[in-house]
Parts: sequence; C-alpha cells; structure tokens
Amino acid sequence: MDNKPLILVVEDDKPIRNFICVSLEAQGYKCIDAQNGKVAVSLVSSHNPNIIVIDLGLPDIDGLDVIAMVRPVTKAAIIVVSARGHEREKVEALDSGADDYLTKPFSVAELLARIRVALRHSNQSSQSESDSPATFLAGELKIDFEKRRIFLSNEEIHLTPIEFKLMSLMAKYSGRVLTHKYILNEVWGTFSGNDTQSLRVFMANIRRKIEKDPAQPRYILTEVGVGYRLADE
Amino acid sequence: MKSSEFNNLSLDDLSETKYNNRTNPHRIRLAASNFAVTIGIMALVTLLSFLFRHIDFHESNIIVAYILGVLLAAKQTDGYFYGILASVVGVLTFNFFFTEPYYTLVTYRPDYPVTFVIMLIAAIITSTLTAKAKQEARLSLLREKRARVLYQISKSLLKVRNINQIAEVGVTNIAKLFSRSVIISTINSSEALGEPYIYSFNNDERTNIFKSFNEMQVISETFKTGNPGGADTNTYVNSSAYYIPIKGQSGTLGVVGVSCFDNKLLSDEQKALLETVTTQIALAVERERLSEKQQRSKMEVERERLRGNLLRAISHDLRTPLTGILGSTATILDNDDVLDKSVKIKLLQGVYEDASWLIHSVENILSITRIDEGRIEMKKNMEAVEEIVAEAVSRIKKLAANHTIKINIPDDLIMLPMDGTLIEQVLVNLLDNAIKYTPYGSTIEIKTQVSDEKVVFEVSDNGAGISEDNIPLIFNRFYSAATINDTGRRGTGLGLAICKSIITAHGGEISVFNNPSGGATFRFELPAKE
Repeated sequence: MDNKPLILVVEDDKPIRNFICVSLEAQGYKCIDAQNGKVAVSLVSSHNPNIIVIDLGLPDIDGLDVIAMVRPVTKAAIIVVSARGHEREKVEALDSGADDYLTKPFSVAELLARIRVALRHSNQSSQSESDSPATFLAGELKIDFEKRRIFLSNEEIHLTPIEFKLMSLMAKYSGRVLTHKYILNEVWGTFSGNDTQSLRVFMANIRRKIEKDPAQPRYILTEVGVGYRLADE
Repeated sequence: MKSSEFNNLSLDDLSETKYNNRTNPHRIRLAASNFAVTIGIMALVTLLSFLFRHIDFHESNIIVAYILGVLLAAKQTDGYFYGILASVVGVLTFNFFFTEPYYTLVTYRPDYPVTFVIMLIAAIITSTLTAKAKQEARLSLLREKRARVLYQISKSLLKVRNINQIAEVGVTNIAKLFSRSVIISTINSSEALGEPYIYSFNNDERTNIFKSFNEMQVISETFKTGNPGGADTNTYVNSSAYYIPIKGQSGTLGVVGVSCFDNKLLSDEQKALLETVTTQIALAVERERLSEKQQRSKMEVERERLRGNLLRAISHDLRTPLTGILGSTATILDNDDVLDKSVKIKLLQGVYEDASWLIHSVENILSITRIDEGRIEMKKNMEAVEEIVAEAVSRIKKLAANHTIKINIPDDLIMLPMDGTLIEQVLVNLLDNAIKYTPYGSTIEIKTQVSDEKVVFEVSDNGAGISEDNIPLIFNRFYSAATINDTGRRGTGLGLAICKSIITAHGGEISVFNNPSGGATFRFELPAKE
C-alpha cells in the first residue's frame, strides 16, 4: 500500500479539473475528481481523502452546503476555491469548517503551497497533543512556545501577553488563513463580538516589532476582507 | 398667501351653502337676530324723526331718514326679506307718526298716498340693491378664497418630485381644507394601487377604519369603476367615507377618500371642490409619471450605450489574446514532433501572458458591470492602511518583475473607514496602470499621508508622464492611451473608470497630474471619518 496522500478535486469545469489533477499527480499526490456536489459527498465517504479542493460554485449543490455535509464525517482539510470579490463567501466557508482558500485565478504554485500546508497540519493533528512542536521557525523568526519567547535573527522580541497569544495562535496554524472571527474567539473569547478594529491595532503593533517594513510584511500577511495568515516558508 | 393663513381656512369659510343650508335652530336664531336688527334700526330712525319734528325740520328730512334706515337695515341683515320688511315698516310708521292726523294710518292730504308709494318703491329698490351688492361681495370673496386655496394646493403640488410626495401633499391639503380625515392611494409603476397615505385630522382614532377590509374594498371598487363610491353614493352605502377617483387622461390614477364620520356627509359644493382638487392631483400625478418614464428611457438609452461600448471592448480586446492563445496551442498540438522545446516554451509563455491579461480584463469588466447595475456592495470597515497597501503590492508584484516598487507610508498606524477589497482594487489598478505605461526599469512609488480630515494616497512613477490632452479624459470609460510600454498591449480603458467609481462611492476624490520631475502621479483622497 502506498502512502501517497489522496486529494479530491471538486470542480465543474473539466479543463480546470484536468490541470489540477495533472499538476498534483506530477508532484506525487494521488488525485480523484468530482464534477458536482453529490458525487463529491459520496466520494468523501467511500475514499476518505486527505484533502478536498472544492469550488464553491457547483452546478447541483452549493459548495457551502457540501462543506456542511462532509465536515462532520471527515477529517480532511478542505480548501475552498472562489472568485475574487466574494470575500464574504470565503469567510462563511472558513467559519463553517473549511480550512483554507484559494482565489481564482490561482497559480499552480499557490495551489501546491496550500496543499503542503494542509498536509502538514493534518499530520500534526494526527499526532498527540504532547508531541506538538516546542518551537516554530520561519525565516528569521523563531517562537519558543514553552518559554514563551520570540526571537528575530536570534534577538529576543518583547511581546505583551496578548500579542504572544496572537502570535502563537497564528504559528500553530502557520500558512493557513485565520478569519478575524476565529482569531477574536480564540484570543479574547466568544464575547469579543466583531471588534476587528482592535485586532487590526494589535496586528499593527506586532508588525512594528517583528517586520522590517510593516508595509511589505514578510511574516504576518493580510488577506483583505478575510483575515490573517502567518507565512511559514 | 402664507401657508399659516391657508391652514386656518377651512371649507366652512368657503361654502356658499353656509347661509342657506343651516340647521333649524340655527336658522331661527339667525332670523330672530335679523328681525331685531331691523326693528331696532327702524325704531332709532323713528326717534330721530321725532327729534326732527320737535325742532321743526321739514318733513322731507324724515322721509330721507327712513330711506337711510331701510338702507342700513338691508346692509346689516341677510337676504332680501328684511330690507323689504324695513321698507314697509318705514312707510307705515311714517304714516302713523308723522302725517296728520297723527297716530292713525289715515291721511288728510290727498298727495300722501303718492308720497307713500314713491317712498316704498325707493326704499325697496335701495334695500334690494344693497342686499344684492352684499351678496355679490360675499360670493366674490368666497371665490377668491377658494381660488387661493386651489392655487396654494397646485403650487405645493408643483414642488413635489415623486408620486408618493404628491399623495402626501394631497392628503394633507385636502384634510385641512375639509377638516376631515383623508386617505389617498395612487397607482404605482405596475399600474395597481400603491400603499395608501392617510391623514388623520386632529389625530382622530377612527381613521384606522380606512385600513379595514370593507373600506379597502370600496377603494379598489372606486379605482376599478372610476365612479365615486362609499357614503352618500349608490355603492357601499355603509362605508364611512366618500371616495372619488383621481381621473387623468390615461384613466384612473388613484382614489381619494374623505371621512364622513357621524353621518356628516359632504355637501354638493364640497364634492365639487373635492373634484377640482383631485383634478389638480391627477395633473401632478400624470406629470410625475411622464417624467419618470422619460427618466427611465433616458437611463435605458445610457445603459444601452454603455452595453454597446462594453461589447465593442470585449469583442476587440478579448478576441486578440484569445486568437493568440488558440494559435499558439494549435501550433503546439499540430507540430509537437517538429517544434523545438524552446519554441514550445516560448509559445506557451505567450499563452500564459495572454491568459493573465484576459483574466485581468474580465475582472475589470465584471467590476464595471457591477458598478453600473448599482450592485456594488460597500462594506465599510475600519481598515489599516498599511495592510491594504501591502496586500495590493503583493498582488501586483508578480506582474512587476521589471519595475521597482517603493512604499512610503507613515510609521503611525492609520485606520480608515473603507471597503478594503475595493480600495485594494483601486491600488492594484493604479499600480497596474503605472506598470503598463512606463518602460522597464521605472520606479513606482506608493505614498500615503494624513492631512486634516483626509488620508491622501499617491501612486507616482518616473515614466514619460501623460500628455496634457489626455488628462481630462483619462478617467472616462473605454478611454485608453495610444502609447504603450514594452509589453505592447492596450488596456480596456476600464481600470481608471472603476477607480473613479469606487473612490466617488467612498466620498473621496481622485485626480492625476504630471510630476515636475517627470512621470505622472495618481492621487486619491478618502475622508478619515464616516
């Protein structure tokens, strides 16, 4: 039995399905495809893929509904594909169980990067909690979770407790986009409401501490209208 | 006439029937007072005449005094009757008191009957003339007042700008005019009766009855048949209001209902007046409908024109790269064995470039149609300027391999209410524009700064600048410069038009100028507060 990760591609346009599968197989993944929501749902339960790449605009069922249907039965990472300008749709998908998203038109490089991130996280979560890494490394940035310290080019950066909480949350899901709502809930609790403004202020402060040029961030990337992503490579 | 004066006028002042149509106790009281006035005046004249006789004035003075008395009585009373009564009373008292023999109705002198007859005729003519003049003066005053009210209503109807306002103005004016609660329902664009406007006079709670099923039925019936309905008509007699249709040239345009609570029906005259007012309302409604229609067809023409332009843009600008893609891929498919690997890669690169350009154009075309249809949804949030700029730059970087992009934003965090994705698109379009129209190796700079209540964004380059002729046209749709950079492709002429639409929707301004040191700067300002 081979250990190639299995990827399910749900997309109604045949050429797009083709090129995604071809490039995934070229990278050593196994690929199955579905052209509508119903087939996708049955393939999820029959093949149990590691990753699902799904277009939100499907001919039969709304992509959001497909996510709602398969989320309870699969641990697969779900990557949503949608057009630019549909930020609300993306946020909805992410908040209802999707793990990441790609904006159409996307390049193959982007797709592969998202899939790598998703695979890494699904491997991590299959290991037990205690095994989670004690440090996070990306470029010059190093986070020591146990000692609660952050270093940039081996120089320690002083963060406030909340800033550290934010950073470690994003590091835990590095490479993946986190919606404003998710971050607010995780860091401030469920009663924080929709105060994205204060979140932006915190992010700006952290950027000023760890980015050389906050206007051209290397680590904390903004996804306008959606949330934030911590670069992982 | 000022509106406050107008407000005090009610139909009671305007009704001709006021004096003819009183209820019985009213009429008796009025007759008694008229009678008392007549007798009083004649008594006074008689007293005066005794004085004249006492100081030996000539008899003719007494006659003249009596005629004066008749005139006064006619003036002070209503109608002809009391003037004539005064004339008769005058002649009789003159006969009784002042002709020999005194205190009898008998006369000795043979010429007295002639005097009496002439005196009576003179008195009657005087009294009737006076009464008539009075009546006429009152009538003309009444008509003037009514004309003023109608003028006032038509003036206020002239000022309104849509059918709903007409109904609102009409309902208020009619209610004040009749001192009753009023309902107006006018037709909407789908030729059916719209939501009614109700004016409840003195906040009368009974006005709610207008919303009852029964009244609604009368309203729709009146609208359908075009005949008056409700109280005091042949249909729906039990209704608590009198309804008449608003009739225009093109049929019934709505319905006016005037409440008749406590069985207080409208007089014929009030109905006639109501009809006049509804005619005015009908005129106003027709005028509005015409202008709306005109507006619609104007917009239709404009939209059609834009659609035509868009189609032209699509057919020309999209066909070119599509042809390229088709040609390149067909070449590779047909000649796979013959072609060099390097040639194939070159062809594929062309396909890649064409496709990227197509996606960019299609996105712009989609945006512009969204803006045109008013479907652009603004979701304003407090956004950090640096995040928006950073995201825009990271999106454009892939296309800017041959250009240098510099970012110059203040160290302090700037938070600004905006729709982040839209402003990001503006920045992407401006950057893309700069890349497209400057030679390789140029530098593009993004600068933001806070000034007063605004945040200013600038995207400048050090290219060739924009020719002065183009500056006023540059934000127009489908305007595309003839000069192009090294990639050799024209734009769709939509990018900057989209920028302008988005910035205007944010309440900001966008402008362009040439830098003194060369190159051009696009600058837009956004208000720092909502």
